[in-house]
Amino acid sequence: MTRDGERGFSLLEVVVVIALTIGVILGTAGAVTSALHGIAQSDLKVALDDDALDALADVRAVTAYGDPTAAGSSTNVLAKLVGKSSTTTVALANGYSETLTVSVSQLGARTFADATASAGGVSVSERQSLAIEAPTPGSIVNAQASP
Amino acid sequence: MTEDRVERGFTVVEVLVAMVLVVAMSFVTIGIVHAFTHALSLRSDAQSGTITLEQELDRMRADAASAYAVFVPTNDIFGKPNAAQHGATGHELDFYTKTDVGDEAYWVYEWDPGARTLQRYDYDVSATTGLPQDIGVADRATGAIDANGHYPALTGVSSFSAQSVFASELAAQPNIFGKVLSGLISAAGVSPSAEPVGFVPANGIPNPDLYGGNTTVQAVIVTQHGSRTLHLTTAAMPAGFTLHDAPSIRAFTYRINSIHRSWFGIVQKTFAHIFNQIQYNYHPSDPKSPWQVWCDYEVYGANIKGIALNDRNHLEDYHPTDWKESTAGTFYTVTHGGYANLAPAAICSEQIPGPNASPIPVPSETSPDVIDTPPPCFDSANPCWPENAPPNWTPPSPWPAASPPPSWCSTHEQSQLCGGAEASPQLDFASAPPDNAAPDESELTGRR
Repeated sequence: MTRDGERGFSLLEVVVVIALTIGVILGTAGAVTSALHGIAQSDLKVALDDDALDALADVRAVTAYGDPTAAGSSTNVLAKLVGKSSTTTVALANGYSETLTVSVSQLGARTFADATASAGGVSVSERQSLAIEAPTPGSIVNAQASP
Repeated sequence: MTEDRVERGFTVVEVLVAMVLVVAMSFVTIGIVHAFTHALSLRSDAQSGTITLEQELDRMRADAASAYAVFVPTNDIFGKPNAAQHGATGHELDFYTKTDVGDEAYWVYEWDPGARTLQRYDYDVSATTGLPQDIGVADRATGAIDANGHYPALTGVSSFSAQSVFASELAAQPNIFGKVLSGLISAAGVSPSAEPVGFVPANGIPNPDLYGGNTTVQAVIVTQHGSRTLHLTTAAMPAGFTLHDAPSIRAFTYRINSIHRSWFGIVQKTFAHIFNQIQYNYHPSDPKSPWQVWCDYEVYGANIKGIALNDRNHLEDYHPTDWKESTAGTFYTVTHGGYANLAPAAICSEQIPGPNASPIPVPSETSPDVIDTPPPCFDSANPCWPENAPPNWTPPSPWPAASPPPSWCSTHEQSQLCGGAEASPQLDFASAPPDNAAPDESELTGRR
């Protein structure tokens, strides 16, 4: 009835081709979706990084002044914050919940503040060195006890 | 017929079905590709906008890192109302700094709600009015303002607000930063204090808006690509004052005799009370700045009997030539904590009074029959003019024996009283005290 080599595609061949085509399309869609998700995560990461930096700026503001010789005094906020941490969570407009954690620690003679902001599976951490940068205006610093 | 069947083309139905399928799949494919392309385009635009916004935020952080003050002025650079008082939100954010040669620089970020732009301007202030003038772009080399210059504006800014927040107010902010800071300082049990250190511009015209210190400026920027909050603190945390003269300290020992009479005055017994007095002066070179008494205390306690000089059993109690009983030793004791059995720090308090403090001398217990206040040179053997004093050593005023013997001047020709040049005596007591008697006056140049 037909000559060899001039027959049409068999049903199996057609099915395989269609499956391959669908696979390629789905793969492409997955790649594009993944790229879009990556971009969104990147934006979220940048925003979280901003928040971590802002939190560190606040910690620096409240610890920059004081009496470095009064470790146990209320005039040395920095010394009192060492070993303390705080975490809070708020809902974001995009449906995520953002968690911000700030902690103050001491490594040797240096004091650090760490801020970690996380949301939607993305987490960003920033660290800043803290020090009493100037005596409190109007305060009297014991010259003999100055470090 | 057999050949015709083998080589025939597609039927019309087959062709139509095939065409329908191809067209349908094309539409589906094109739709998917279009959707992906559109989504990518939107994301690309959004990320581009985000990058631009982040660059602007980074620029502002860098600006703050080089500024003496970040502030929200009452009026903007064009004279329009901005923030009525501290804590109010404004549409303009200002920066102030000084270069390493003392030149001042001002710049702002001004939001234009009509154009929806955030524009940076550099400006000068008038030497006579203190108000902004010459708005434009500053030349980096000369600082001259080019009024025709323009920085590229951040576009698409639908909202911008700047607000000064004292350090004491940060924890009360109704945002995530206030909440997390509130938890931190609550755990430590501290209350941060606000130190809004102000600056007086070079023109000498005070500007109540111009303050920094640990004040934070919170800026909120809203664009079509998102919203960002920015907390800016300055790089410099100035102390608000400069102390040029370090406090000088001097100490000297003096004796008060009390005579106790009995047998109708026929018999008397003399008791000696040995005192140390420590004085300080923040501006010793200023004649209008007198020496202030930091503390005055009796070396051997406030025993009314003092030291019985006529009692051979107590003569050994007082050794003015010993280091610990000299004023140099006293000074060392004060500056290095308790020494031997003396603990004047407990009497003097731990800290030198501040420049504006009014110290109250510790009253000494004295007998009502005090008859004299002899000089600190107790006897001829006492080192009133110690040989081991530095060559330029000059005793403080009041010093009763103002005429050193020629033999002493032969080895201390640099002393003022021996005709030497004026110089502040400097003694180093950082090391252990010497074995022998030491000078009776000491001076420390400390630092604050």
